[in-house]
Parts: sequence; structure tokens; C-alpha cells
Amino acid sequence: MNPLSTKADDLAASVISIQSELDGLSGLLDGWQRSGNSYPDLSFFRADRAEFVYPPFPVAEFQRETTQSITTGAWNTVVFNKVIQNPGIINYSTASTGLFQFGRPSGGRVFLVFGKASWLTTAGTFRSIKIESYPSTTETIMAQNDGDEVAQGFSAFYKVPVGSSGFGIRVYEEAAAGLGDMTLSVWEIARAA
Amino acid sequence: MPISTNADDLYQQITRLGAELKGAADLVAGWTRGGTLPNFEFMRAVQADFVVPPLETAHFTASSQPVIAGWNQVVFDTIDWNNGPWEYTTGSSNFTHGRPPLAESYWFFGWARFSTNSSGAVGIRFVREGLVGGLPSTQTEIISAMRVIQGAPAGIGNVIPFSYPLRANSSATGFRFEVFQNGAASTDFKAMSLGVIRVARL
Repeated sequence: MNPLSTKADDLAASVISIQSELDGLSGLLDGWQRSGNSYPDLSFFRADRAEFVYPPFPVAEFQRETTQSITTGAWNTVVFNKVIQNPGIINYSTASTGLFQFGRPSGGRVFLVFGKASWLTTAGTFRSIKIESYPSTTETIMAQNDGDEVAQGFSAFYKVPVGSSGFGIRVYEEAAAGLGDMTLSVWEIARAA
Repeated sequence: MPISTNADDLYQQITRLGAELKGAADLVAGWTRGGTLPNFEFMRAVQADFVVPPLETAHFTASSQPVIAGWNQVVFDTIDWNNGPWEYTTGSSNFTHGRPPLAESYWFFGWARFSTNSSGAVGIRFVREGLVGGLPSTQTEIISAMRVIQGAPAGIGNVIPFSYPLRANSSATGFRFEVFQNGAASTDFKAMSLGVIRVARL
């Protein structure tokens, strides 16, 4: 790459060599910057070790802080009255009826849904927790335990059915106990066909 | 920029540019390790947006399961997706590691559903298969168990959740899940949902 001498021909040959090297490097970097923005926008990358100052998948957390009355013998949608954090992966208002709504077509998005529910008493024989899609009512019962258990944990993948615009967390109890409180974490964790 | 069109000045400037370019090219070559794709030994980012989330995950579903008594191996009939290092063929019960798990941490979670019963308990256990002293060995751990619901609606029965972290080392060869019931002989194991996430590695 360095000129062999100060002769014009050698200088020109060196400039051509540098230009060729620069073109290759520039083309590679252009490919890493598809969006035209100044940050890397890669179609694929691999790393032995990577540190993300902010964790690389979005997390939303919600809480039911106060008792919610439950109609026995029927599924009740939980109204979470506190948004602990929500970076925008799903739309939710504490003034809603408990419906979580997607802001874009979401078929195939996979969320890890987990948390716990606390019940006020051990009354009744059983209580259940499910996630139910909207407007279709595709459902997954994530926990159905004996009534003596006043705290129920749950953790399950929720793959959004094509055509769904949202979901609700619904609970069921066979006899009057009342929902004491509930936490819900939603992590966007995968994409599946 | 060259300070003049003098050949000596041009020579010095071209030499300097060449050195700078070589430095940048060597840096990029280190980031690609000889290829054209970014392949970093280490990277750091304050904000990262992954169109496809970066973790390795899998989901397996078991349905139409048989009547069981005692402990029974779970046979999953659907692989909903699997982009992780867990090898599984539907119809079997054993998972194997697609590559030696060098101190990798997995998180297993989901639920199992049993039909209504009038007595007894139901449970799930994890069975680790590996080598101890060079010989095949299994280790079992109950990860969820509870008494059955008496009076649950027909068709649903018990749905027991589980959440279990596993640190798998190079002696691990595979694993499976087993479910349990000790109530009436007609109790069915109805279904199971198993999610797996590869969360860490030393």
C-alpha cells in the first residue's frame, strides 16, 4: 500500500491500492447500516459476549394492588390498576376493562407471561387463571389449583394467534373469596411462524 | 491533505493515509473474524432493538395423553418451534443436547393438566440424564406437586404450573419430564405446555 518511491507512477499505484481497500471497507460498512442512519442496522450478527446496558428484550409489568370483587362461577377479567413499566410492547390503560391491546398486527409474536395471584380466603374448591385472546376467545388455562392455595403462580408462553388484537387475563373461582392482588409480567421473547 | 504537490509531500501523505486505512481495515477484520458478517468477541450497546428477539427458545405441547398411574414419561406430540440447542423428536420422551452444554443455564416453565379426580395428588418431575464417573446416571427432582381439586369442572381438573431453572454442564446428555397421579385409576394426564429459554452461559 505504501508508495515504492516518490515517482509519479508509484504514487499513483499506491493511491489506486488505497482506493480499492477503502471501497471494500466502505461497502462492508454500508451493508451494516441498511437504514441509512448512523447506527448499525444488521441483518445478522454473532457475538461471544455481549453487554446490553438496557436488556435487549422489552418487558412490561402490571399490578392489581387492591382487592377485586369476583363473580363466582364465571370468568372475570382482571383489571390491573398499576402500570409498573411498559415500553410500548402493548397498549394498556388502568381505566380500561382489563383488555391489553396490540398496536400492530401481532400474529406469531411470542410473549412470556408470568406472575402470581393472591386470593383472600381458602373458600371454595378451586380457582383458575387463564389468558384469553381477543376478539377470538382462544384461551390457555395457566393454573387451576385447589382452593386451599391462597397464592397461585403461573408462567407460560403466549403465542399470539393470527388476527388477535389483544388479550385479557381472566380468573375464575368456584366460591366467593375475592382476588387480593395480582402481578403480571409480559416479556416479548420470541417470534414463531 | 498534502501540504503541496511536491512528490515528497505526496509520498508522506499517501503513506500516512495507508497506515490509517490499514488500522481501520484491521479493526473491521477483527469484528468479522475473516468473514463479512459481524462476529464480535465482545460488544456493548446502550440501546438495542432486535426485530427477532435474540434468545434461543422452544415450545413443546403434549396432548391426547393416556390414562396414567404413578410416574409416567411425557411424550410431546407438537414442536411449536425450536431454535435452541435441544434436540427432540415427537413421539419420544427424551430430549438430547445438540451440543455439549458447557455450563449453560436453561429455564423450563409451563403447565400440565390432569382430569378431574376424587382423591390423591398430581405432580411433575424433571429427570436429568448424564454421566457420573463416566457411567450413565439419572437424577430426578419434583418441580411441582399438589393435591387434586375435588369438584373441579369436568374436562379441566388440575392445571399445575411449573418453573424450573437448570444448570447443565458437559456431563449432561439429555433430560425428560415425567408426570404423576395416585388417585383413581381412570385419571388422565390431559396435556402439557413446555417452554424453554436458554438464559445464560459461563
